[in-house]
Amino acid sequence: MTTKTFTPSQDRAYDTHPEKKLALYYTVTGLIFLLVGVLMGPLQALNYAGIDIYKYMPFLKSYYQGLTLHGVLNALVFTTYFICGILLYIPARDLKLRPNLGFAWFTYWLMNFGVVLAAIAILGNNASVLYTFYPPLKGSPLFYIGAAILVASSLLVGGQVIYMWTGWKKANPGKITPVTAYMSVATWFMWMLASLGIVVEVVVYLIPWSLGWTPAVDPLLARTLFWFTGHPIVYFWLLPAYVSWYAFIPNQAGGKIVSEPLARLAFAMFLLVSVPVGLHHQFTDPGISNLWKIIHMVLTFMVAVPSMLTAFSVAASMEYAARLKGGKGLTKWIAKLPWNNPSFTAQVLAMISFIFGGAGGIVNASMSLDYVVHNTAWIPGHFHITVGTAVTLTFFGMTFWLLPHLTGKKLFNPKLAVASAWWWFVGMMVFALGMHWEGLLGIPRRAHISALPVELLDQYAKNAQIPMALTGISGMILLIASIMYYVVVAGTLWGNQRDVKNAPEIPFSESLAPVDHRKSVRVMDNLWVLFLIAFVIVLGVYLPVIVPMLQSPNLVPGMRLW
Amino acid sequence: MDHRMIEKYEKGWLYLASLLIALLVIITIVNVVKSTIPSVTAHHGHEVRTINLQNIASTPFATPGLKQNEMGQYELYMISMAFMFNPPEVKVPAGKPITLYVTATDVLHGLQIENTNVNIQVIPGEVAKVTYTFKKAGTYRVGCNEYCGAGHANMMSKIIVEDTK
Repeated sequence: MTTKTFTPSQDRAYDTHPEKKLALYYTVTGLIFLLVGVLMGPLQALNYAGIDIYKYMPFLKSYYQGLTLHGVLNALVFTTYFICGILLYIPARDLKLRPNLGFAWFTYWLMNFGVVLAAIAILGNNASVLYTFYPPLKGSPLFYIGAAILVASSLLVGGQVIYMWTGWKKANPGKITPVTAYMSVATWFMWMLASLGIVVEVVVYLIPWSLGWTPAVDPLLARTLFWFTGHPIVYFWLLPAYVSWYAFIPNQAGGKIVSEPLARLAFAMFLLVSVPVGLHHQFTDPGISNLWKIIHMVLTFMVAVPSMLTAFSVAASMEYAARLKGGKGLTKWIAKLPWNNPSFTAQVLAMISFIFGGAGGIVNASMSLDYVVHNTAWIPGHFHITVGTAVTLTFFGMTFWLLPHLTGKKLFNPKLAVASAWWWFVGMMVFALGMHWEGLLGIPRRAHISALPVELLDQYAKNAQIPMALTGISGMILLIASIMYYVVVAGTLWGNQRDVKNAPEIPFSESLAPVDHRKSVRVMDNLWVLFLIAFVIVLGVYLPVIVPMLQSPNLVPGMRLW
Repeated sequence: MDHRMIEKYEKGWLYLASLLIALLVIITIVNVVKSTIPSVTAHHGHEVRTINLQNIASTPFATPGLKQNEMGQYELYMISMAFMFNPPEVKVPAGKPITLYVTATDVLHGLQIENTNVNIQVIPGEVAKVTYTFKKAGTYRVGCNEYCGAGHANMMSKIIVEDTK
């Protein structure tokens, strides 16, 4: 094997589909940011075991700076890059269209620019405001401007997908959008609507305030605008994982989508009901009436319905595949699933995690139960098995076919890839157990408890030795899992010879029954109409909350307390 | 297994999911109506929703602590600030409804009373109101559970509930 054969085949990898290179850059850049964020994780886990190692970290000024890096990079930066990569590439391939590459590369570099600005602020300890950046804690303007550019770039990517799809509809009158493209476009429509809150918060209020142009902001209004986006954003992370579960898992399991109309219904429902749910993060806030809190609670519960449909439908698809292969019995068919395929295994483990995550989510959404867990360690326990596992582990699983597909290189050490998925899953389960438990004992979230004087730490540790130990151990398991995963990624990207011809294809699944004749499917294909209805619903439930705040603003100046 | 059979099961599952949601909604609404949860309320009528942070001296928050109003009801005024609660320690009677009023003077804080479901997002200038009856005597730790800056983890106080019998 000489490098002579290496160079020309490298060019051919993108000959037929130059958009592959774009998707590769988006996803791998996301993974690099995630690596930095993930390496902050064990420090946080050890903190919750009462062990402080921040003092040994020369490049971090505090726990809160490390936590800001961890949250911003993992939850905001990694997800945005990865989703922009796959949800531009996959719908384009499904519609057999090529995105405008000049524009798409422009948005990629624009996004990098935004993230660099925010990174300068965070790394200089000038924006240790965590990923919720609630005013009146005041970070460097670079942080808010960077965040705004990140969101704006993602909207430009989404706009391009919607533009492509609109063009496809014009060119194919009367045709039903292929299911994968349908799910992707619905996700982008949802994000267009959902991001409004954070765009207004950052552009109208926080940037002028951080630059000193306005003296004060209303913290309650800012919180409300933040959570306008801050909860639906989790569906912006989750829905691309659902796209993979619905569209790719049946194929990977060796079967078909058992119920395609239902897949479409789930996404149509998400577009309609996933945005007006933000107030369930504000159940314990003063200044908002209980009536509107309860209305948002009901809407939040409704989001559980499409998720429960997904649980049914995806499980049915897997069972169907396993029975085709001769799987029998009530549970014995499970053994017939392709557990040696790392992409499949990672995603099924992600789904299992989401069963627990979703159940905890219903607790958080329930007004009477939320008072017990609000802002305790329970909450990070919850979102590490939803976003941190259901989404992230699914994205890991996707990379196990995506990276070979995009580069034409074989997946490096598939056995290690399977092992990394299991270690991640087990680590997160232990973490979730520890943190949910600590939360029920009243231990606060986002608190540098390991640096407390011994007598104060002991007050927490008195009842919580076991959950605290579990949290600390989980951090170590997750560190091992992430090392394994990144060895697989690096080994794939740099390790071996290209074989573009035999690269895996996108695992689009077929539908068990044709759907074109279904009236419901035709109605749901009008995504612009659904988008407008969703917009009206959002205005209907948010204006009565926001207008009183605008009428009697409570303006507070900014402060830096770190 | 064909798609018609799967659709039948699917419908059953959909009804089950909807039933679960309906039950959860009903339970919570009953809780709120019967006030079995100490919900944080917005202020109406003569009570103000916000206070002027420059002029705390003219509000009951000028002297934080436990008070009894003209009807004999207990009112507890607390201020959250970086990085302490004022009062740092307070005694209250067991078995009597205590109405807690809390605000912050600088940034966002949280106020959670350990082993109860009193858990408030404290927002500067906004007044949160919660009524709670401590059934058992003892010392209840109060912690801040919203990130408020470098000293966030140290921000704690105590409510000492005393038997009145």
